[in-house]
Amino acid sequence: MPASSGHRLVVAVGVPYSDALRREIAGEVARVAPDAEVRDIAALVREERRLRREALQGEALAKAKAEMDKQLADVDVLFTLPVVPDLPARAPRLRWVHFISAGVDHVMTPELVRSPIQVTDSGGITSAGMAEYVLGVMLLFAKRLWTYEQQKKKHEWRKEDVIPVELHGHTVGILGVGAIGQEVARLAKAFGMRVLGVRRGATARETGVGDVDEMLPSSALHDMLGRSDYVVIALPATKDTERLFGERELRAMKPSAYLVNVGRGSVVDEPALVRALKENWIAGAGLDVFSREPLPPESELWGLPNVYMTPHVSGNLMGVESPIIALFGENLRRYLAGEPLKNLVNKEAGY
Amino acid sequence: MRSSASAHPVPVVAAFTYGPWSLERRHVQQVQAVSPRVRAVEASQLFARAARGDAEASRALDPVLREAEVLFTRFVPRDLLRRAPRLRWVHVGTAGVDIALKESHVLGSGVTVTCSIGMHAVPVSEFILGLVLALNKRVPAFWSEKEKHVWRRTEREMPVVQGATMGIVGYGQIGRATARLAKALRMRVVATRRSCAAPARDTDGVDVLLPTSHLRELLAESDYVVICAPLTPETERLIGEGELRAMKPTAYLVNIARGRVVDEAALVRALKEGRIAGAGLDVFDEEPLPANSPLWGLPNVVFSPHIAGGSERNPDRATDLFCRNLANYLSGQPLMNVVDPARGY
Repeated sequence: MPASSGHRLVVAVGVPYSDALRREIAGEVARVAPDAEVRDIAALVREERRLRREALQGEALAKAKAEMDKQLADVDVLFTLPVVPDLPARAPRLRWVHFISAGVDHVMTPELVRSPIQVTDSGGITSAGMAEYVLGVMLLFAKRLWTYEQQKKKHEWRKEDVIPVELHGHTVGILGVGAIGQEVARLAKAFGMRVLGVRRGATARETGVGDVDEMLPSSALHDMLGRSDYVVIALPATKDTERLFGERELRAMKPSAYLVNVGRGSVVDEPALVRALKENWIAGAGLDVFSREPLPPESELWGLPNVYMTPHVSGNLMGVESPIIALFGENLRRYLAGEPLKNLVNKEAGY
Repeated sequence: MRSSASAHPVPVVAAFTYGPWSLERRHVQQVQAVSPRVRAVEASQLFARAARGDAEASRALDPVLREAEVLFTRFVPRDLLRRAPRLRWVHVGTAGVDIALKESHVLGSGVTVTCSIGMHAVPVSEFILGLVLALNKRVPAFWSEKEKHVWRRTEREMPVVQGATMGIVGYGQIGRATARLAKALRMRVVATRRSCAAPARDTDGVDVLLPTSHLRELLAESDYVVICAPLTPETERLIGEGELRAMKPTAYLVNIARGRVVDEAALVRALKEGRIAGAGLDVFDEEPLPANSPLWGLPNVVFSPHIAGGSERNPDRATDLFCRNLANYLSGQPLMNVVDPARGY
C-alpha cells in the first residue's frame, strides 16, 4: 500500500550485519524511492536484543525500548533479521516487513500474524547456499573427512580401515521439498544420487517431480527413511512439524545412514536423536539447528564423535546480499506501485 | 608385444586389495569368463601379505608369478621381473603407476603397462568437492568449537561456493568430472591442460581452458586451485614459492594428485604466513606424512591420508576395466590406458 500523501516514506533497516550491507540497502532504497527516508535502527535492535537476552530488566531496557519506540513510530517499511517484539503496536504505520532469512517461523509472533502487516522473506536466494551446506555435510561423512580430521589432531596416518564411500549411486531422502529441498535434489542428481522426497501436499507416489525421482506423501515417510543413505530435514517449524522426527523415525533409518538437519531443531526429538547416535541406530548426524539455541553446555550432542555441528549459521550466507537487496528493491517498487509483493509469506501457515 | 591372438592358454594373476575390500569370488569369475583361454589365479591376499613382509606368502607367490603372463594388481613386488619371466602385461588398478611400480623397473622393461586412469573419476571428483566445501564452510573452525563446546553465532557468516572460481591444474578425466560437479554448484571453472594450444572459452565443460604456460593466470583468478596433474618430470614442484605467491590470499589449494607436484616446504610457509587461506591435502611429499611434519598442526589444513580415490566400488570398477582390456589383449586389439614409459602416465 503506498504511503498517503504528505507523509514521507520511512524505511527502517534493522539488519544486524555489516555497515557496508546497510549502506547497500540504503543505496537501493534511494534508487527505487529517492524521496524516502532510510533509518538505520540496527544498533537499537541489537541493544534491545542484548538487554532482553541478558534479562536485564529495569532502567536500561526501558530506555532502549523507549528509544526504539520513537524510531519505529512513523516507519512504513522494515527490512530486518531479528524479531522486534510487539512490532505491530510499536510501529502503527508499518505495512510491510522483509526478513533477510529464508524461513520466518522463528520471527513470526501471534501479533504479527493477526496484524495487517505484509511479511516477505528471502527464500529461494539463500536456498542455494543452504543446499551447498547440506551437500558439504554429506560429503564430510561419505568421504570420512570427519574421521581424518580426528586423525589429524592425533598426528595419525591410518588409511586402510576408514575408506570413503561414494555419493554416486546412493540415495538421499529429503523431508520437506521446498526451495532448499529442491536445490538439494538438484545437486544430489548432479552427483549421481537417487532422490526421494516427502512433501506434505503430495497425496500419492509421484515419479520424476523436478529433480526428485520419487515424491512420496507424508504417510510413506518410514518407507523413505528405510531406503535412504542420507536423510535431509529441510522442513520449516510449524505446529505440524514439531517433534515429527522421533524415535520411530530414527529407528526406521538404516544403521549406515546419516541425518542432516538444516530445518528447525524443534522438528527432531533431540533426546531420541542423542540415543540414536550413542547406540548407533544411525551412523551420524550433521546438525545446524537444535531444539534449544544456543545449544546448552550440558547437551550430550557436544561430545558425540559422530556429530558434526554448526551454530545455526547455514543460512547466514556471505555473498548472497546482492540478490537479496535486489529482491527488496523490486518489492519496494511493487509496494509503491500497489502491486503484489514477491516472496510473500502465508502468515497462518508459517511459510 | 607377442601376438596374443593365438590360442594358447593365458595365465592371469589377479591381485587387488583395497582397504577392507579385496577381490571376491565373483570378480575372479568375471575375469575367467572373459575367455576359456584365461587361467585366472586369485592372489590378492598373498600379494598383500607379501607386501607386509610375510616370507611364507612371498614363497607361495613364486610359482604363481613364474607362470603369469598377465598381472592385474595395485602394486608389484620390487623383484617382479626376475620372478615372472613369462610376464607380458601388467594392468595396474590405480590411476598413477609411480607408486604401484615403485623400484620394480617394470616400466620400460618391455612389459606392457596399462593403468586405470579414469576409474577414479567419480570418487576423486567427489572427494575434491568434499575438500572444497569443507574449506569453504570452515569445517576445521566449527570442529574445534564443537570440541570446546563453544557456540559462537553472532555475526557469523557462512561463505558460499556459488560464483567462486575453481582452477583445475591438469584437465584429464578427474579434472573433467570435477568441473562438472563444480558447475552444478554454480562455480566458474578455469583449467590448464598440457595439450591445449591456445586459450579457449566455454569449451569442454569449463569456462576457460588454458595452455600450461598460462598457469599463473589460473592461479591469480582462482578461489580454489585444484591439482589434478600426474607426477612427471615436468610437473614435479610445479607449484612452488612463486606459484603460491601468484594465488589470492583468500584462495585455497587442493591437492589430490601427488605430493611432489607441490613444493611442500613452500606450501607450509604460505600457510603459516597466511599468504593463502588454507589447503585441502590428500597427498604429501613423504607418505605416511612424518610425525614431525608441520602440516599436522596447521589449523587451516583439511587432511586425508592419500585416500581420495577410495571407494567401496573400486574392486568392481577395476575388474570391469581390466576385463575389457583383457578381451582386447586376447583378441590382439590395442590395449586401453597404455602407460608411456617416457611420460610415466
